[in-house]
Amino acid sequence: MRKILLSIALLAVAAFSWPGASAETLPSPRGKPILEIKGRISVVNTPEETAIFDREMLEKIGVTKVQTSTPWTDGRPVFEGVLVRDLLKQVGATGHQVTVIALNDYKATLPVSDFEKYPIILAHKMDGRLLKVRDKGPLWIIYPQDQFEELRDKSVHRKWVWQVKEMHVE
Amino acid sequence: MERDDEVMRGTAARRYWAFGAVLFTFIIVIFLSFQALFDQKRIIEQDSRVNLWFLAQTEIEYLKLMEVLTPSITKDQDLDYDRLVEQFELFWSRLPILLSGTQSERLRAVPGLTKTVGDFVLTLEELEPYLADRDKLTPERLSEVHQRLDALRSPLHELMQRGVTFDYVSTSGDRRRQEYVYYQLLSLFIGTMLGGLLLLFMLYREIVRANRAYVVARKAEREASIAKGQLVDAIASISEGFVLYDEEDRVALFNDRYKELHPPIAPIMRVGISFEDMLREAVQRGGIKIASDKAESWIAEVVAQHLNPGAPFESRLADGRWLRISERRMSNGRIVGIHTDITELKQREAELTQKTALLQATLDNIAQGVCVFDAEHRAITWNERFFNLLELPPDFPLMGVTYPEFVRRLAERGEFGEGTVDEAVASHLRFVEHALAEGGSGRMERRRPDGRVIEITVNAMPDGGFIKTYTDVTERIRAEAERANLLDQFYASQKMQAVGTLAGGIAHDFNNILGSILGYSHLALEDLPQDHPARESVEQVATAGARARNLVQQILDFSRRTETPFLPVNLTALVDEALVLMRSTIPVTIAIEKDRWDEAHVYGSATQIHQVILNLCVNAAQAIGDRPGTIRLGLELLEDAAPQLPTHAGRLADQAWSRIEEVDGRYRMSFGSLAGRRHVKLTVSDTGSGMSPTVMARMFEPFFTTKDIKGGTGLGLAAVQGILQQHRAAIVVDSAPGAGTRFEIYLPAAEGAAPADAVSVTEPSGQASERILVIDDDRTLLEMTRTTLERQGYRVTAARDPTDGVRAFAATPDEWDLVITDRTMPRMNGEDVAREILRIRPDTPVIMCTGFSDAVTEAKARSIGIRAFLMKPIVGKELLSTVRGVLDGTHRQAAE
Repeated sequence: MRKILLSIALLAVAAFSWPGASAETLPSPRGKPILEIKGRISVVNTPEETAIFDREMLEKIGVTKVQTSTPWTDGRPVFEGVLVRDLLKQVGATGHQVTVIALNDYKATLPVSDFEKYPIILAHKMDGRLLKVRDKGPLWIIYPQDQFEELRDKSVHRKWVWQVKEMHVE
Repeated sequence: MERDDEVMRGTAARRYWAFGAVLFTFIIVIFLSFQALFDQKRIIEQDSRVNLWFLAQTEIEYLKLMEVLTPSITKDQDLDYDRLVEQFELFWSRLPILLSGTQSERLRAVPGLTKTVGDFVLTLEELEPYLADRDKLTPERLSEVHQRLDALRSPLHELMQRGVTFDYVSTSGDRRRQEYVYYQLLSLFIGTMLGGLLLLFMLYREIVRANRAYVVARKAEREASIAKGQLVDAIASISEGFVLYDEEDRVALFNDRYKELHPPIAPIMRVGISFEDMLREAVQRGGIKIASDKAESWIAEVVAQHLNPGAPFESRLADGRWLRISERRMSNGRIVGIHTDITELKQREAELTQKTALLQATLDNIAQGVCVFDAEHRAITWNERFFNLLELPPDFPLMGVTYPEFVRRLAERGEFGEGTVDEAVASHLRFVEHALAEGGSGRMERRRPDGRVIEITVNAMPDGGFIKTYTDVTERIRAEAERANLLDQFYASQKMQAVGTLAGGIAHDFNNILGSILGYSHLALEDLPQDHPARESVEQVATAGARARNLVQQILDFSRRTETPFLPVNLTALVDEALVLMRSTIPVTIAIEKDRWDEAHVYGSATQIHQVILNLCVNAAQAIGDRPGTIRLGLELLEDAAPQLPTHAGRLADQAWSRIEEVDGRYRMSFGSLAGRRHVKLTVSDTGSGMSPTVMARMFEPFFTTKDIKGGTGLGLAAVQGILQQHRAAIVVDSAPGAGTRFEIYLPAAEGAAPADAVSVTEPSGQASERILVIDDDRTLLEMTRTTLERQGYRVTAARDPTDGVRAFAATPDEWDLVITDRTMPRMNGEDVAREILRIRPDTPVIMCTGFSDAVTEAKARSIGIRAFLMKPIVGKELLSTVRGVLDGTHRQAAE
């Protein structure tokens, strides 16, 4: 029994580590870095073993649109950004949760399972416009609460971290 | 039981499941409720905080902005442009949140907020171009920015305060909700506590109950196990065969004893075998003898009987043993069988039946009446004799009747004579109770109404009952009385015999002396001249000698030591002759009368009978005394005398007198028995003083007399008895004090007339010349006999020694005409002498002299051949006549 469990665990590790190992090394950002990822990641681009991104790099991973209402905006804006799970895959993250830190050092811990279960994005655009800091930019965690009713909850709202500057994979 | 256990266990399990489910649900509900309430609480708290937080964040961001901006104005520090722009942006990012979105919706109710914040946005929009380009941000412009931003400080702070106030007011609803939530939480907590306690209590109770039930169940199980073990042990150890069948009639349990009792099926006996198979096996193995074609039908019949068990039955096995088989259906429908070996019981039963029959037969054949009462004193068995003795009718109810009831019925029948029934019953019950208490046995005698005497014994039996035995002792009582009487008579007889022996002995010697006195006085008288002066004296001597001789004769009569020839005697003439003598002797005041006067003859001694008559008459006269009176005599020839005698006469031994009986005030007693049928009854009665029974009892004793010393010798009646006894006569005495006495004498009658005076003494006549040999050891008598004979002319040879005499005879046997020998002599007695002489010459006449004689010696002497006897003392006349008679051949005595 123990052997079986061990082999399953090894397979899981292999499954996670393989894309990281095969991906090309993360290039350094050409523009202004807007996000830094630390912790249990295998793909880095800084001497400090972190991964830093500018908007172009993020967009390059892939942009996903999510239209949803938020408790802090009127109407149903359309958000655009990279799927967090893609981003984590990009950096070869192996943790179970991610602490997201805002510009004002607000912190919220999000389970990795959330990203796998829902198309949560790290939005950099709202209604076609780039998010400025004043608009809760440059990056904003968006839960698609209109698509998933269970997400329309105050306990989830605290995980909508805006003005994201850093993510710590644990 | 197992099924009950399972049911119980199932119920308990279901209860546990239900309990578990309730507990689980409870916990879940509590958990969810708490969670929901906490969530609600947090949300409520968050809601209010979020609002205030938005404001606070705005102010913080403002202060951070100012913190970046102010040092550069005061020249304390160089401007950090990037930070400024970022802080500017951050401050700005706080403002739209206040103006839009659901989260800040309530905040927007704060008065003046929208306008103030809108103004802030306008200010920021105006200042934005100032900060757009770093190069264009001159100190003046920077200062203006600072100034413009600084102007926002107080409205922002005011707004913050308003927000706080508002929050307090606006969140009072929330607080109420919150309080409500608290109360809910509290209630829930208390509810949970109580529910938990209740659950704990229920759980505890359930555990206790389950534990108790478990303990009880375990105990019950253990007890059941022990009980079952004991039951199995008990079944295994009982002496009976045990078998238990299940619902399908298959063996479920059996013990070894069952196999022992059924050897044919023992090898196949096992749990699970059906009763029918067992039977079939038993038939096949020969355990049950039955024809093979009938086996199946028999098996079917037995199985049917087995399935509907009735009363226990007895069965005989092929090996001869008997079994009692008791089969019962139990409440659960199973059949249980008990097989008991009753072979021994059967044998005992047979033995018992036999013994009972034997006992009954024994009881019916014993002379006693027997009745057995059990421990409850109920009659259980008896014999026929019992009924006969008590003269109970055959239908007299007895079986099971209690002893008191039985006695009562007897009493009511008059069994106990006079007295009340209750007294009789009480008396008998006392007797039995006393007997049972005192050693277990008792005895009583009682006279039945019919006069018979019964002896009743009661003996306790080991079982608490008792047995009553009834014996008819009438005969025994009578026999005992008779025996006592006979004993008296025996003693009397002994006494008389003793006296007789003594007297006889003395008389014998006296006779010899008297013989000499008489003989020589007679010789002297013959020699003395008529006028001789001594003649009178010698005559007196002879007279006294004669009297003495009479006295001795009476003693000998009494003691039967005389030898008198029995001859036919004319009794009538003899009595007449005696009466003539009596008349002249007794006083004239006494009349002598004759009643019936038959002509009668008897065998006997005339002299002795004469003596009897005289004695009786003298006695009668003396009983009458001086007063006038009558003596009556009668002679009666009876063809059959028996009816005339008293009832008891003839039954008694002829050696003693009977008891004295009282009949109509008179006393009677009798003596002797009657031989033959014809008798002569001689009656002598007087009108004298009579006798009391006491005197009667002793009247025949020798030397007993009622007269004074001079009146009599006391030998008169004793002699009468002696004489009559010798004559085989019966005597009846009848007397009463003051009313006279009557003697009845029954003498055997002689057939035909007797020659008259056959025994009369013949006078010797003429001169004799025969030669006589006289042998006697007594010299005086020898000389006297020789003198007497020689005076008659006989030639006498006297021998004192018998052997000398015999020798003398043997020398010249043919010269002797007669031999006279004494009987009692030393060395050689009279019989020997006679035998010797007769051997030498068989036709020699022999006369034997003897002092006393009896029938035996007489018969013996005759068988020897002796011709005649002479009784001592020998009187001259008798001697001479006898000698003459023998010599002449006229003396026939010896020849008969």
